[in-house]
Amino acid sequence: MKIPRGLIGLVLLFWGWETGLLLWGLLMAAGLEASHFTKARWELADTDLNRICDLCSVLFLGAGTLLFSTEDRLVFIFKFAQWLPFCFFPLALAQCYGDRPSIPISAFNWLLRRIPHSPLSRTSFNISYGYFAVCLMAASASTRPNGFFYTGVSVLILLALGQVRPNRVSWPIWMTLAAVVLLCGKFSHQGLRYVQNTMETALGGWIAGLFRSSTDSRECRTHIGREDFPLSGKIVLRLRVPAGDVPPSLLRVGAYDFYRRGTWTAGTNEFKQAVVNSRGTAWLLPPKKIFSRVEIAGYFPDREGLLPLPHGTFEIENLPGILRTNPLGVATVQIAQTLLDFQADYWTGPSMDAPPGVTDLAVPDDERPVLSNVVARLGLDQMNERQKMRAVSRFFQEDFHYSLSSPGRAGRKDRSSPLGQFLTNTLSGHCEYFATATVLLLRQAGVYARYITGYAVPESARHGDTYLVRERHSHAWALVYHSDTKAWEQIDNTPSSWADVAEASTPWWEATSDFLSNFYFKFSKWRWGKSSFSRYAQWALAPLIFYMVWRIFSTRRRQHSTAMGGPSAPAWPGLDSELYLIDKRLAGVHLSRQPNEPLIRWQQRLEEAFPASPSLRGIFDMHRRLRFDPRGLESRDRERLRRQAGAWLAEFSAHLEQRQQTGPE
Amino acid sequence: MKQSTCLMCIIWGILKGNVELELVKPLATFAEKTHQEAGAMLDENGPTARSSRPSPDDALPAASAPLSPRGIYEQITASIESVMRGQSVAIRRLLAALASGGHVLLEDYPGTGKTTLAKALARSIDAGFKRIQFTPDLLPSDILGVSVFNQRDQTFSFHEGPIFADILLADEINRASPRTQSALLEAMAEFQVSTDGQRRPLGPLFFVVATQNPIEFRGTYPLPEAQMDRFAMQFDLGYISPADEVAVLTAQNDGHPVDNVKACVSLDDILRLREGVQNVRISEELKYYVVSLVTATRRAPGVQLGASPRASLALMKTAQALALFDGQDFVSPEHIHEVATAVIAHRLVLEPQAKFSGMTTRQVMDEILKRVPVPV
Repeated sequence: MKIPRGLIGLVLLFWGWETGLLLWGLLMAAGLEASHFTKARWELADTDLNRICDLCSVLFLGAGTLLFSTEDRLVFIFKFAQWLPFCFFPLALAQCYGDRPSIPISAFNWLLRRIPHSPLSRTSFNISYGYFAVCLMAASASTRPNGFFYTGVSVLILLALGQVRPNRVSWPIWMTLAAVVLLCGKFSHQGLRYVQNTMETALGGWIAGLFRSSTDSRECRTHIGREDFPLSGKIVLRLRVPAGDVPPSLLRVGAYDFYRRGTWTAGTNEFKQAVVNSRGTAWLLPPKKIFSRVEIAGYFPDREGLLPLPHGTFEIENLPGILRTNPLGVATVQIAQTLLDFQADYWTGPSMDAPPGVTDLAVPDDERPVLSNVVARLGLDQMNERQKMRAVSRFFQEDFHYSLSSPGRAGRKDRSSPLGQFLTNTLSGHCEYFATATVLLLRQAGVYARYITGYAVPESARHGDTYLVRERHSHAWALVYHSDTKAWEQIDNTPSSWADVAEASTPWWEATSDFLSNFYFKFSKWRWGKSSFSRYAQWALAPLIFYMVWRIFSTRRRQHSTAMGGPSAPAWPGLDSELYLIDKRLAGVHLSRQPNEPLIRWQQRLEEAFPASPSLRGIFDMHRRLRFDPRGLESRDRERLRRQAGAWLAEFSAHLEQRQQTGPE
Repeated sequence: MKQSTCLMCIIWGILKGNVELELVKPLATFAEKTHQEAGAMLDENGPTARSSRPSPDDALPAASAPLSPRGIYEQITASIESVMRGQSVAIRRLLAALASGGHVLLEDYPGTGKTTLAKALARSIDAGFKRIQFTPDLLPSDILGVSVFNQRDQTFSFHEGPIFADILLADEINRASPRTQSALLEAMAEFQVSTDGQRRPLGPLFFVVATQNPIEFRGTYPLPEAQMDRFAMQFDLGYISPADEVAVLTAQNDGHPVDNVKACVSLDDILRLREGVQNVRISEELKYYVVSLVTATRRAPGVQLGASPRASLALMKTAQALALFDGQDFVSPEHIHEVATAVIAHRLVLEPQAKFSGMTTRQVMDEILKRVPVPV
């Protein structure tokens, strides 16, 4: 079924208008519609169509890869849909300018190409309507607000359907029915949209609850009392500092102020949005003159999460998203990509943590007896603030050691809490024990303290100019408040041997996984436009496309040469026959010889078209003898052929002129 | 004497109102004598078998001047068309094979007229015709002949088999075992039979029309590739139009029409027809075209074994015959186009995968004819 003349052009213009690619739409529409004004046709074999489909596939995959690499996931889908008319444009050209009315289905399927003579492979169809549908879909993917989309689509579809209107239905009835269908469609569309919004609202909270991240700004379930402690070597952060500088030893992710039975919670979770300017710079504190800088890169698979920051961060750069902070100094970020690569400027002065409150002195009742005993034993009540901090630090450094094999509930002899066991019996544990015990002891002694989680950056993490922070470097420490300086300070009482213990668990395959991880990291940087490689990658597709186009054309040339008998084929006699002039002249009225049409069939067509022209048979007979009789045509007959063909052409031209003057009958 | 007899008969025929019928008898008498003389000459040269020689009633009319090759074709066509309605294409192909010296394999459903066509052709020509009904128990000696010990002369004498005929109808050829089928190989390709270490040439016409049924597979043996290659053409007759079928029914009212067919051309006429075919010119360009078509079969997807140079030769000769039938003294591309599928398709061997996917050799040829540029 052929598409009406002009419809493809209209839909391309509509697509260009909707998507903001009007110039492209105009050019493509002109390119396709020009096929109605030229009689030149491209002789396409199955292999040519296969290659054109392959080219479309490459464009399709290339566009998909490019957009997937450079665009946000949602934007990618819509933009990819908008680009589809580009991808399938070669196929549309082949349909318009090719000599075949339809394209076999095997061209679209590699499996069917292997069985070219199966009934399914031989099925062919005109792809014009398919391309029409693709353009409409591409236009619908436009995110630009436009109230005329539905009207435009309706008009185009009606124009297409009008061509197949059954004769038994009159135009008024058909138009009325079409209008009813379109109105129903309009209201149904609106209703569906309303239902969708309602469903999204209702289900959103429930789904969010199911997939809540383990790194929660409101709650932190420690591994105290449990034996599973993460020791994975997976790289979670990459740090880079200016040459000669050292990175921050601790990167804070979460902060909590209330403890109960192994779980820390944040008493306040009111996040406020920080101002991020157009260049992605956010100011958390006023600018400082003396500061350090660190570049942090990490993945955010959920496109949101807690931002790892050094203590005392006052400025963040290259942050393309929404930044929120809470009074506990925790920053969350919401971004459009999964890779975040930003710079943090920090200093050693006061941080953005809010002043302490009563919760910063809260101690759980079940831990209070143990804590009181320790405080009393250390004599903290008689010390000032700084002495208390030093005494607690000395207490852990002298008597405790780091261990990952903390006893579970089954190993405990009495009914005291795991923390109590740690402080009184085992005297060994991991960082969460030390951090929790430090916070609670200081609170018991009257010092404001908070529990902080995040990552440590040991020297062993250094690899060249980059510090690789792994999952096993996740850490916990305390934040204490100095009343005299009105500033919060980090205290890490975990014995320094913890880093050695963590490194001891390094698996043998870590080098390989690091290599793959680095490769993926570089790809991600390119994908999210953090690397200049992206613009080269776009051009990398160009040679591939050029090669495929070249193959199509070169094969055509090769096929022609081999089909004619190869380069050794001699020049055949009679190729100067005047019948070829007639063939050329008849191209304007669709009566020229079709590709590979035998002479006899063409002759029959012409004799039917020109019944009052008896000289045609003679011209054909003489042409045959001239071309295919080894004896050739006698000079007298050769002259007769020339004369008769000239006369026929003159007669035909006169007939055409007469028709043009009188108009078609 | 002969002239006066003819004149009397014509007068008698006019009086009886049936000139045509009465003309035949005296002419047939003349023709029979002529053939007897010719047979005697042949016997001197070698063994011949004419077991199914037309009866005197079927003898051809005497002609004052020899028919032109095209006239011979038209005579036979008219004769066969009086029996075979609506089969002009098949008749044209059959005669093209006959004129070009090839053999024909007719493959069609039962009852479509394969045997009748062969019979009509045989009866239209004053030549020896024999029919072999192929069965699974048929032996090569049943076809070629056998040497029998003559006790009286104490010598072996060779009893010619039915293959020693001018026109041989091998009915349901695929029912015989491959061994028996192979008995035809030498005869079809080299027009001779080798038995008991002796070479026995066949007649100059020797034309095999074989038939087979495409739908029955049980108890049949597909012809080997070498055997298929011996046939210049394979084609089917197809079902005729309802109007033609009604005409066939009507024609059966007075007996089977094939029984009324009379020889209209002689063996010499056929040999002259073949000579005429050889004189038809074909240009180098069309020879290239023939070779291009055949070569394309060797590269076509799904084809395990393409056509041989023998196919090129058969295609060229058949196209020459068609040109002659059309009154042309040179071959046109249309003639090649017309018989290319019939000449080449049956020689192709498809790959099993292509065969299972429903592909046929005819489809391959149709595709090749579309693809290979036809000279214009």
